Amino acid sequence: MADNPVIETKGLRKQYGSQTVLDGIDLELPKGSIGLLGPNGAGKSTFIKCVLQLHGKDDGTVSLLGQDIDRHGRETRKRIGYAPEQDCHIPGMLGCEYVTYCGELSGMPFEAARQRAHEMLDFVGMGQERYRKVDTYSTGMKQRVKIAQALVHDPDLVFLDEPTNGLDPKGQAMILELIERIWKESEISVVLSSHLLHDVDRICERIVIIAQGSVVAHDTLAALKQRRKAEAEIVIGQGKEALMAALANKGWPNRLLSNGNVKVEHGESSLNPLIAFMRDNDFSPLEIKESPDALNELYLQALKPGSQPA
Amino acid sequence: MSVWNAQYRRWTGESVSIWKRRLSIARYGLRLCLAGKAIRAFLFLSLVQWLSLTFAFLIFGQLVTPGSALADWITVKTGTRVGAVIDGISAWALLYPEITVDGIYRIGYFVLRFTATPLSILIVALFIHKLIAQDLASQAIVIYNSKALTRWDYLIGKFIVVSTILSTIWILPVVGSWIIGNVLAPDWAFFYHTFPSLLRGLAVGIVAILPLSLVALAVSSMAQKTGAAIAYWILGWITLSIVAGLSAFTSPTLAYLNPFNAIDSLSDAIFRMDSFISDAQSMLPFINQAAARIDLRLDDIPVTDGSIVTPAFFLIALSVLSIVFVNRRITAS
Repeated sequence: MADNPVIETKGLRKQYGSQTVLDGIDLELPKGSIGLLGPNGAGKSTFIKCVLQLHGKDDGTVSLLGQDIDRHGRETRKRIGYAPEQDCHIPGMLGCEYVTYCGELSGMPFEAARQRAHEMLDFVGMGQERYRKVDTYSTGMKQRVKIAQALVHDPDLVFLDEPTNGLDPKGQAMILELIERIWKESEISVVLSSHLLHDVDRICERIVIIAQGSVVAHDTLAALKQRRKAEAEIVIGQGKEALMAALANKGWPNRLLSNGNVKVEHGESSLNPLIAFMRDNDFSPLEIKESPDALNELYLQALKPGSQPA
Repeated sequence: MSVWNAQYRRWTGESVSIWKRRLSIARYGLRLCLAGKAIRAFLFLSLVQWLSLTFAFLIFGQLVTPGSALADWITVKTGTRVGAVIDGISAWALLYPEITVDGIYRIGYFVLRFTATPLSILIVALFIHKLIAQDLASQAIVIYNSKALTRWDYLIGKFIVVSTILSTIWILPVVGSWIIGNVLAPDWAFFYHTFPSLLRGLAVGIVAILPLSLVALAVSSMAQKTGAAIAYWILGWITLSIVAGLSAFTSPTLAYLNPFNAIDSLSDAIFRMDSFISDAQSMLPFINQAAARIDLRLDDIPVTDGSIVTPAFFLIALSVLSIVFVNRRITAS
């Protein structure tokens, strides 16, 4: 890999009693916006907690920003931000006080932390609400203040665990836009954990899919989207049998689906040869659907209960 | 939204030391714990301890000053007999300052524990839920653990919170009254003569504050709900007093299961009031007759008879157990 990895795990294993939550995860993630995707209970949050030393790991090694966390845990965390999934504010504190305090805990002098807290609250779009107690915030405000406290000390890597949870679509869009800006404007690497494909699909350059405590897939978003089976689903009104016979003569295996459409394995890198073949043989399909890309497919596979890594 | 387009700027300042981060935890913790009228009222009572001692030392200093206005005024008001007593005390202070002057401070600091003990239990009960229990209940502990801190940094910060508040009960009255009492004393040699009592008072204060602070942290970390911490603290002391009292019937040593018994025992050993009375009997006229009926145990040497080692062992064991317990509790779940 050209860049030094921001996260590197080798054989990361975590068990709760007899249940294996992380099963020897090997990962090497470069800088960028990284989506940690998986269904609820897949092990995403546990993975984050283990690399941040919030939970002890049972086996394996973890390096963040090139430093072994077992040996340089405190110094490494100085360069890392974390917005947990659950509410974690300190009761009784105002929003701006809370973010200032988090800055101080990360090693900033008080004056700098206070100034920076206001900058970050501006950045996440908090107005006068910052002078209210965090206890009184709506879910959206709490998510924003969590992101502000994760960024206040200007980290090089930030972990955001399910930041869109509990938000309405408008709130989700705003938070995703904000997260997108973190990487694009500041080049702070972002690890976004989510069970929503849409979230990571929209803003992440690299995807890691976790299911049953194992990494199911890990690649760039572009590569995962290109990686797809050379299959297509043809929606056609008349002449299904003729079409199927013609496709078979061409050497393309096909079958009739229960919805009446024809599934064909064309084996080509694009749909163009199939479209040309149908035009040449006077077939008029209503629609030709490309097979789902690997991201969708792998994620759907991960969502199935008891699924095994591919 | 007008603020939505704010740009992200990188921060390039220097980080502060780990001790400043620990002090930040302590500062915010103190502010949180001292927010409330009840705790302020009780802390005022600890100031009353300080003021009472200072007033007593001030009066003593003025009484032993030859020809002081206060002594003259009392003589005029009460008659020559009292005036003669004052003159006598003044003469003692001149001739035997190590007994008379130091003795007054020693007695003052010795009796401090009788008010400091109940005040400590009450005041800690008023803020114990805000120490660690609140961080556990609100999950704020996750934030602490994700920052550039270790569990020890967090604990040191919280320890400073409790020990600072307890210091206003145990240390502030001692140091404050010693400084003001001596600054306003007629002779600056009082600083020298009363210095041993200051050290004794400080020693007892430290002996009380260290284990009590650690036990408070452990009890606070025991509770998942903030209200439970207060209940654990109060019920814990009641239970411990009963258990220690009953256990003492089988073995007197088990009385030290209640840390306040251990603190009292160490306080006795540090102040050595028996030794003080004995010295007063041998050196001061009239005192030998007045104190003749007091049963002194001068043969006992505290270090070897167990009145230091045994309670110290119990307090150290309790402190270590508290540290181990609280260290296991403050994980992000």
